[in-house]
Amino acid sequence: MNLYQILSFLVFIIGVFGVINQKDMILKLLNLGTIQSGVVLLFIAISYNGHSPIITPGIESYSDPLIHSFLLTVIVIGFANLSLMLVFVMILSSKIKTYQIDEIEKKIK
Amino acid sequence: MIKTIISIILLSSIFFIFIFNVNIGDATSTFTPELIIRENGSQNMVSSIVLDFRLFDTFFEVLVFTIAIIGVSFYMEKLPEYKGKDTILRSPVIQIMTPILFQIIVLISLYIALTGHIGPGGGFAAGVILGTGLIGVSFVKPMDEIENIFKRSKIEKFKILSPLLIIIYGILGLVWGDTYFANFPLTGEVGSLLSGGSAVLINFIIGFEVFAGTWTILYKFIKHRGLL
Repeated sequence: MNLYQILSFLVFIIGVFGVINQKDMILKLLNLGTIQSGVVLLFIAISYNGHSPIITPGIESYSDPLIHSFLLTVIVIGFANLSLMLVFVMILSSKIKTYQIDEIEKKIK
Repeated sequence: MIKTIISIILLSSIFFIFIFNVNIGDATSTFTPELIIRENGSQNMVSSIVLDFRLFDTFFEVLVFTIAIIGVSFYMEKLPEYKGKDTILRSPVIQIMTPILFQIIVLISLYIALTGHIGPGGGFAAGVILGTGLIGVSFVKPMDEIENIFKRSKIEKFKILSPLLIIIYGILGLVWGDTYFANFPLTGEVGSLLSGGSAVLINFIIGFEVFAGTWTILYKFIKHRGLL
């Protein structure tokens, strides 16, 4: 058990708690980003080997470049999807005039 | 309340089990430096995987990014435009320093896109840096000027062409007698600017795509929501 594993678990729990407990829809989406940060931190920690994956003479074992390239995908697509979800929330709130999820459920019924 | 607690515990236990079964340094590189130098020639191993070994993966990433940006600019049209007055920051420090900083940011972004296969960096980072620099400019310029540049550059239409360019590049792989998405057959000397085959070309295509997407998101949000 390493410090980075504990920290990434804490970040993940903060995100899950926020997604479930917050009533504001924008804060829910931002907490989804927090969950993503925890997952990225864990995978960076798993692949860490002491040397960054840039070829240097005299070093044989590197961190895993495959995981780094996957995390590049995760970050870019997370950023684009977060903005798309914010647009959907803005459209919803321009019709219902609120961000609170309880009132939205009441008005839809 | 009990429902909330139970769902939090169940969701986090999935992650908890996974954390306890792995250790730091479990995933060391299965790619040896000799393999990467022989096959691709870039000094940055991540760049050689993103732009050569798994370019098919990267292509779909760029495609998903493009579709998300098209969704943003399509659904934003359904919202009313922001009618309030421009919220330009009147602080002299910001007004003088931002245009100077913006030129430096553009230079850094070009440098990162150009040397993505030698050191840390690459197309995605370059595009995001350039798009972030434009946020600073929108603090000091009035909205009309930015709108003028955005409309005149037609970047909203050109950015859709980036996945198409990658497809054309992938088909070109057949021309030099290999399979689809094959690299240029010139790997060059490791560490020089022209190593890594097509790394510079694809880095610039991806950088342009990410920059155009970031700028579109920024412009649409400012146009329909205001700066603050």
